[in-house]
Amino acid sequence: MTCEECRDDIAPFAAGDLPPTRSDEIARHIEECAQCRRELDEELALRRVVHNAAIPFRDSVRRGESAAERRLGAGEPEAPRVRFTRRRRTQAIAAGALAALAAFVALVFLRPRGNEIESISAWAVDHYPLVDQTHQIHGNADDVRLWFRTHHGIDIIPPRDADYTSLTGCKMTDMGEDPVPLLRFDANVTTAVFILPARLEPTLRGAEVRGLRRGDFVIDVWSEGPGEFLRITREKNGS
Amino acid sequence: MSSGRENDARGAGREEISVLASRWRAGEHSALREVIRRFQAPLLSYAMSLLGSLNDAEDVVQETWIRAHGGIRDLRDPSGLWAWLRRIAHNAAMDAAKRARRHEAPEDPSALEIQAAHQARVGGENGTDEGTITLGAIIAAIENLPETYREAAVYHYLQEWPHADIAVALGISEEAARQRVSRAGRLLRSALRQAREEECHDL
Repeated sequence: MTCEECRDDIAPFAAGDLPPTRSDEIARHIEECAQCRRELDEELALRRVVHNAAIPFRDSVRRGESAAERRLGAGEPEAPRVRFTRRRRTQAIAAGALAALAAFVALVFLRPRGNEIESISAWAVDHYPLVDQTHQIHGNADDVRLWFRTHHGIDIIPPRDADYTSLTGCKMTDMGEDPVPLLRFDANVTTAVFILPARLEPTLRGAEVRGLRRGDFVIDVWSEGPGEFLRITREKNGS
Repeated sequence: MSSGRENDARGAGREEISVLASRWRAGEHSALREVIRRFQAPLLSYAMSLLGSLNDAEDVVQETWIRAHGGIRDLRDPSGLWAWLRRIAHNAAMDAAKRARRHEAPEDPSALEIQAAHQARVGGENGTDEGTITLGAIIAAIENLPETYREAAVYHYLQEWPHADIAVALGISEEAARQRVSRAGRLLRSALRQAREEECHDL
């Protein structure tokens, strides 16, 4: 055995962590080699010193492990995993399909009639950053409310006593014969509330909100009559 | 080492680090426990080498776990878990050092003299007394080792884990673990010998 080989194994030898045959070889070499014996003495001294000096370190490790586990909830039992059996999955799919069918029936057959104005515009989610859900127009000729859902998923429904007379930051282009009398936008441009002129009421067919960029948008309101068309544009950088 | 801790260490090493990190990211408590048990000591050693105080290092490691747990979803490469934790610990240590500097009282020359005299009498946590190696000096020497040997040295010398546990924790064979510890031991002896010689030279 060379001194180099011996010194490579001095640490596990000192720790008593070598297979017996290898340990015997090292012991024989050390008996004959003063330099390797000195190396072993140094290793044993190092181990003694580190053993004593590292007591607070080991205590700290134990304390830290417990504290971290407690703080992060690592000691809590695992939440049971929900495993869907094939039967459960089929049941869930069937329930979902039934719910969708019920919603469709309600939409088609139970929607309000008469003066109620129906939901009028499908919303192209990908193209309009301001709004990510279909907006709706509801009400009657005296109180038409348009609301839509912002990209935060918040439904904005204007209060009934809202001030309908201001039109901040918006430009209105009346493309019909009469100006629209009452209109309001809120400061965050998430809500549009307006009362349509009486002449539009019986033939109102639709409104569409198009977000051009966040904060800028166009609302088109139209009716069946020729030229009965109103365009409301959010001014760029408007308040 | 108690058999419980041996089992824990083996449990931590059985799986690849990336699998462990992925399980932690998926919210498995057992994976988080294993990660903590595996990396608590290396993190503490690293933080102490930066801050010089065991108490401060202990706080920084706790802060590291909190930050890491909050940001585990940001870990892009699960196999780089250790490097990621070390980076978080480094940032937490730097923040702690900044906070400490901010709260430091204006330096009074007479107070500094008293402090220097005290250091000379008892030896600082980082310094070496004549013939005695302090924890600070040992940790400084370990953290100066090449990365391959650093963890093995922490587990073997500071934690006193047997080679079998180190092998499992590092995901290597027992023979390879023994070789790493041997090499780390040689480098440590040499570093500490040098530190002692420099100390004697200064005196």
